[in-house]
Amino acid sequence: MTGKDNIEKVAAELKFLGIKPDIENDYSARFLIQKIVFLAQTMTKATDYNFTIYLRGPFSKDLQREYYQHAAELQTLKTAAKLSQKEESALSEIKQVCLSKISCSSDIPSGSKEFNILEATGTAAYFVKSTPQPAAEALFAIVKTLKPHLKETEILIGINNARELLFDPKQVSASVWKDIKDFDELEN
Amino acid sequence: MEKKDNDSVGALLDASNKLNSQIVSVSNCLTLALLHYSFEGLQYTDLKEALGVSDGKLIADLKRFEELGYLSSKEEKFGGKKVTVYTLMPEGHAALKRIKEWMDLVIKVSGENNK
Repeated sequence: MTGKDNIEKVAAELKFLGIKPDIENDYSARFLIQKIVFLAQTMTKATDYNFTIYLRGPFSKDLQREYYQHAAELQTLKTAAKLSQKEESALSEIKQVCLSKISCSSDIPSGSKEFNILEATGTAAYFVKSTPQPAAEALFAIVKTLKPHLKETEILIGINNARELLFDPKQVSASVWKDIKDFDELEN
Repeated sequence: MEKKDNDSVGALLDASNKLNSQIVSVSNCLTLALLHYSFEGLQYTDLKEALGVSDGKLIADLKRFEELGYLSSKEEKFGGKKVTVYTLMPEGHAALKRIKEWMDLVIKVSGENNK
């Protein structure tokens, strides 16, 4: 994808979520963009930025450069890009799981705890995606080592969020599905 | 060939004299490089976690960098509170460039010739 394709898609994602970022003056807005774009890309490959886990990551230098270059367009959410159904579905899930307590308007502040949880979610997703079924303890240890400023509860919530967002029904074995079905029948 | 080797050595010695010995440490070079990488700036905690240094050392180093004009700090909104964000200034970029040029000369002088 070209740089223009990527940033157009980012604008479409922000438009769908109702986020109008003030790139120049609002660190929160830039932080939100980095995490949302990473999670959407991990779930749907909507964009193809390279991300590092460091520097309050997941963080993409290319994304950073592009949102500064196109700050005016992003603030007006002017874009020609369209989102697929899969991309809209992923964004809806991201909004529900991670953003429900974060104001999507740059004008309204929200607690840093929600931003910390979003950072933990992105960090956990980075490893969940690259390592097949990482053990919970190992994942916790990695995130805690990389992000010591995050509280343990924030990390645990972030790991749960990441697992929920990246849940792939195909990974679940037939026997587990049977157990779930049996349990549901028992409940009813 | 000899003249070329002498030029490299001379260039390295010359570049070494131009470096500010106050800032050429691993953590300081890393600070400049990381601030160059994230041009929108980094928070204090971002630098502390990346560098793995004590608060005392980091605060002193950042203060020295500000006094030298290498970086600036400003407050920005983040998660309902104000945070201090450090960004690299042109003098900081120039200092990093001098370090990179010096490192290129080190690589050149310690190259294949003496194997």
